[in-house]
Amino acid sequence: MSDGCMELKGISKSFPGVSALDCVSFSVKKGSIHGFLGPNGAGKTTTLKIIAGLCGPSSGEIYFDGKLANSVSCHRSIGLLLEDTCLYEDMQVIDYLKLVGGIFGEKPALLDSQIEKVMEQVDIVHVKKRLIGNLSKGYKQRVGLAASLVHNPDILLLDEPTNGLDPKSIKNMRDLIISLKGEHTIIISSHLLAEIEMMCDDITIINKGEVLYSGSVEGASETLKQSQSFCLKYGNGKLSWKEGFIKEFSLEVVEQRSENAGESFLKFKKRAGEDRRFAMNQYLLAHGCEVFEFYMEEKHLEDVFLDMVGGENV
Amino acid sequence: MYSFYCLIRKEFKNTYSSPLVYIVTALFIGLLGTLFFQSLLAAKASGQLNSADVVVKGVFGTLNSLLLFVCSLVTMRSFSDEKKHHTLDLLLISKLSVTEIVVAKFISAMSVVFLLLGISTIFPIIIYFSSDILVAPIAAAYLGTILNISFYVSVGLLASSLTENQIIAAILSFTVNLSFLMLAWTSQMSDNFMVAQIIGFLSPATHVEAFIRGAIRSSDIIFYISSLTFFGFATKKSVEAVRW
Repeated sequence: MSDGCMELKGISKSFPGVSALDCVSFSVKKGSIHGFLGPNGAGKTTTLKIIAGLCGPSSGEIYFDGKLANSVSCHRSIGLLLEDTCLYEDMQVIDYLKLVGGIFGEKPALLDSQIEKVMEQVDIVHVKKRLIGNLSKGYKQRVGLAASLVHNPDILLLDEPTNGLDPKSIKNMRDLIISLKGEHTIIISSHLLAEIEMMCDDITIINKGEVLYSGSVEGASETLKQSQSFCLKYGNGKLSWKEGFIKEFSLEVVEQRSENAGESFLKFKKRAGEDRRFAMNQYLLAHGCEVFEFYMEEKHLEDVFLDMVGGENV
Repeated sequence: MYSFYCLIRKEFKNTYSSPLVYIVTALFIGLLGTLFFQSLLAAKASGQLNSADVVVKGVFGTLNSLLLFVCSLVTMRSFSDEKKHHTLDLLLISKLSVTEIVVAKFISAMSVVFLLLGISTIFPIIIYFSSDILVAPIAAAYLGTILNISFYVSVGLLASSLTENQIIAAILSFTVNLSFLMLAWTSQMSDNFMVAQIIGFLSPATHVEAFIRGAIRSSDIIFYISSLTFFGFATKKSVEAVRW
C-alpha cells in the first residue's frame, strides 16, 4: 500500500441467513476517484457503510494510511453521501451545514468560513436560507455533498450521487466531483457506467458480495481485449474455411445469422492470448472466404461490467 | 463538547418548532387547571379547604398519570424520526458518541416536561398565598414527579429507538409505562408478602407515592437511578444495533 490511502482486507459481512460480503479486498489511492460498480444487491452500500463505520464487518480489516481502523474514531475523517441523503428537511441549508460542521468537530472559529467555501464549491449559496425540504432533488444532493465536505474529510464516500437527477444535474454533479479530485480521495458507487468511466482512475467491480475486478479503468479495458469480440460479414459462396478458422484460433461463436441471400454474419470471441487479428485476416483470405466486413467490436466499461457480472439486472 | 452543544441546540430547535409541544402544553394546562379547580371545590365541600395537602396530593397523583401520556407523545419522535429519515446515520458517523446522542435526546425531552411542571407550580403558589401550606412536602412531591418523569422519558426513548414509526413508538412507550404502573396494583393481589413487595418495588407508582406523601427515601431514589441507567443503557445498545 505504497500510495494507498485506504485498504480493505478480507472484509466479510453476514446478516442472518445472508452473506452480504465475502472476503472483499481492494485498495484506494490517495487523491484518486475510485469507482465502485455492481448490480443491485451486490454489496456496494454495505461496503461503503463499513468503510464509514456505520456498520461493523463480520471479519476483515480496514487500513487508513496504513493504520488499522479498529475504533470508530478512525472513521471520522470520512465524508459520506448515502443514496438516502441524511438531511433534516425542516432546517435551512445554512443551519444544517452549521450543525453538521459542529457535530463533526469543526472548530467554531473556522466553521463559518468553511461553510462559505463549501457552499460556493457546490453552488448552493443562493439557496442557503431555504428549507431543505423545499429544494429540488438535485439541490438536496448538492446539500448532502456540501454536508459531507463541511468537515474537510480526507475520504469522501458517495453512494449513487447522481441517482434520480436530470441530465443537466448529472453533468453538474460530475463536474463537481471531478473538481474535488486531488483534494479528497473519492469512492463513488454508481450504476451509470459511462459516468464512472469518465470520472474514475480506478474501479472495483463487485457482484454477490465478491470482488470481480479491482484496478485501473485502463486495466479493465486490457482485460476486455483478452476476450475481444469480432464481427465478420462474409459471402455465402465458399464456406469450407469456417470450421478450420474456428478451430485454428480457438474461437467461441456468439452469434451466427444470414443477413440476406448472399451474405452471412458471424460474431465470435477470442479467448485470452496475443493479438492475432492480422493472422485471422490472412487465414480468411488464404482459405477463400469472401470477406465483406471484418472488425473488432468497440467495447466500453459497461461491457466489461456486464461480462463480469454475467449481464444480470444492473 | 462543542459537538454536544450543537446537537443539544438542534434538539431544542427541533422540539420547540413542532406544534406538538404547544398542543400538549395547552391540553396539559387545561386538564390540570380543571383538576385543581375540582380539587379545591371538593376540599371546600368537605370542609378541608385549609388542608392544602388534600388538594396538592390529589393534583400530584393525577399529574403523574397525565405525564404518562405527555412523555409518550414527547419522546415518540426522538429516534424513530431520525431512523426514518436516515439522519441517525449522520449522527453516528459524527464526532458524537452514542451516549451523547442519547443524553441529548433525554435532556431535550425532559426540558418539555420541565416546562409543563414549571407551569404547574402556579397551583401550589395559589394555595401558598391562600392558606397554610408546608413548602417541603410540595418540593418532595416535585422531586418525585421529576424522577418519575425521567423514568417515563427513558422508557419512551427506548421505545422510540426500536422503531421507525412514531405512532408505534408512542403506543409502545405508553403500554410499557402503564404496565410498570399497574405492577403496583398487581402486587396487592398477591398473597405472598415477598412477591408482593418485589412486584410493588418494580412499579414507579409505589415510589412516587412516597414522594407525594412528603417522604424522601433512599430506596426510591435508588430505584429511579437504577431504572434510568438500565433504560439509558438499553437505548444506547438499541441505537448501536444499527452498526451490528
